[in-house]
Amino acid sequence: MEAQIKIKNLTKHFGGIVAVNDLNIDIHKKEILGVIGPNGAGKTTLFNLITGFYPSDQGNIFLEGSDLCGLLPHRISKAGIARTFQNIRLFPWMTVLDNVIVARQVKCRGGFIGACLGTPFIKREEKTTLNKVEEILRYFHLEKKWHFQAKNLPYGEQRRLEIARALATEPKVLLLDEPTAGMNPAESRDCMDLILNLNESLGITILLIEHNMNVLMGISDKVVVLDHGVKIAEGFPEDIQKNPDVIKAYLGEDYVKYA
Amino acid sequence: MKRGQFIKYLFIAAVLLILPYLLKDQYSRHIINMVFINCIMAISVNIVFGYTGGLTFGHVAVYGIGAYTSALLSTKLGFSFLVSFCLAGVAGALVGIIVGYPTLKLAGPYFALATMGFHKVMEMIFLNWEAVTGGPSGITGIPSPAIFGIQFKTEERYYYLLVIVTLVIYTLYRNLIRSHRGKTITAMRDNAIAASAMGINVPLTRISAFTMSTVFSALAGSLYAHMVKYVAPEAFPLGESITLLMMIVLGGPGFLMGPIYGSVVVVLANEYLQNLEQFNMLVFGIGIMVLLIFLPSGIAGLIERLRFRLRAEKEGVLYTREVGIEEMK
Repeated sequence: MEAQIKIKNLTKHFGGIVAVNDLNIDIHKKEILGVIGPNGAGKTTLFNLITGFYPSDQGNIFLEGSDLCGLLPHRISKAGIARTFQNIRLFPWMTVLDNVIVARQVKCRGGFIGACLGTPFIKREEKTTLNKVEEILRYFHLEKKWHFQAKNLPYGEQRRLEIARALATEPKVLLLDEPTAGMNPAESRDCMDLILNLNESLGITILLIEHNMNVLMGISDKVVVLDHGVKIAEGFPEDIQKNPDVIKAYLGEDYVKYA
Repeated sequence: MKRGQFIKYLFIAAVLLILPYLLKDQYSRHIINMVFINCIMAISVNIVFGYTGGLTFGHVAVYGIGAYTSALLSTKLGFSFLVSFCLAGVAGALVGIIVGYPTLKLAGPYFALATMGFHKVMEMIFLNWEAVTGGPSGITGIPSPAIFGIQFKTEERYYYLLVIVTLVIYTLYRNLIRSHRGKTITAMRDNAIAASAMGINVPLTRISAFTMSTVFSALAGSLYAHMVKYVAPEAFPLGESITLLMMIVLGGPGFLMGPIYGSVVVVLANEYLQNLEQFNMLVFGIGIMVLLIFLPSGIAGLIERLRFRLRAEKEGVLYTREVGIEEMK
């Protein structure tokens, strides 16, 4: 089967540091791919490269056969890749409703001048947008808090709103950067269920960076391990846990014998 | 439309209609007209300062460009008011794109300095390009406007023209701000990185908003030129930009009605404090300092807060929207 996302020989330098080195990954449709690695392994850099926030030095990223290299972030979002951020990046002063409405604009065709004139086309489009946004908020159990400013939500709900907002762009691929960071065990279990549900019911391919191994190993179909920008292992979660290279990268040489 | 809203609009329309008859002397009528012109300017500055978060000192220069364009077209080429008014708007759009594009990536104080530089350049051009702008003595003899045979010669007739233009511009601005597309402007101010990850074309949105505001400024300039029938460089000082920002801050930056409250209060206060002679600016300055300490989000912010409190009591919803100058960060 042809991969939905094909990353070929991707390389990125920052000054003298190689953040991502000659990386090759194939991601198939409806897969949940876990990305792990010690701090500074290049996981977030990989996400920033895929979503166009950093230009790559070498290599290509293909989404369903079309090259994404050189496209700006908003173009990549339109192509069908959405993301969340490691440190939450909501629109803090806007309401929960407005946060999702803004994300939904990718799917709207009305422009600036039409908006100024308040044309019937814009009115109709805004009505359908509102219906869709309400549906999304209900799905994420945020519908009762639609009028809250995003910064006034509790932490777990801010994370959920960020995923809701990413989902409003109707992505084919969703990149989640540590979605359960700072959550308690119950909250992270809910978050896991949510991710699984998105994957199963909507058929969205998911790339997941996560430090919580219980979460990651529990839901990933495949795991990729990065260290110093190099892919050191790739495989099923069970195999990764026994892989000597992975243990070496995380714990050091001495622990390999305990594997 | 709800009944309460209908009554409100009817009341506003009535006040706007009879206002010139309440003011007997020529001077007060002139002041009222200046309120409307400043209102358009304040709307335009609020789009940039309040919604995109750019501290602009360049809008008075755009206002000047609009005034000069309109003046030149109607005196030298004999264009009618309507044509020169529209072409002033086109000039404003060009300026918006030419100034907006290179300053796209500038934020905060750097944007402020760039726009200030633009103002200084324009000031020099107005003053020194004598062949076109008439130098320090400016352009005189600008005809008063006539639209489809209706003459707007006197100040009270001009008042009605200003009311119509201001209402049209306010409606365009209100539609934009309330529309979903308009919310992308605020989103971009709140977090540009997240906005671009959500598929918003940040540079295009920023230039569009900036260009829209420069068009409004240039139109205000054209209206000014045809009202006073004379333009000269000293009508467009840098200090005027500060007054405009003061209007926004006092009225409430990033609030729909902010520029309207601000322009009314500042223009009227400026005029009626003239009686204090040299203490005028001192009293004005202290007044603004006191107001900002007690009303950090301006008059519109105060009204919004009261309205939220009322609604919270009536409907039992949580009071969730904070308003304040912090919003600008």
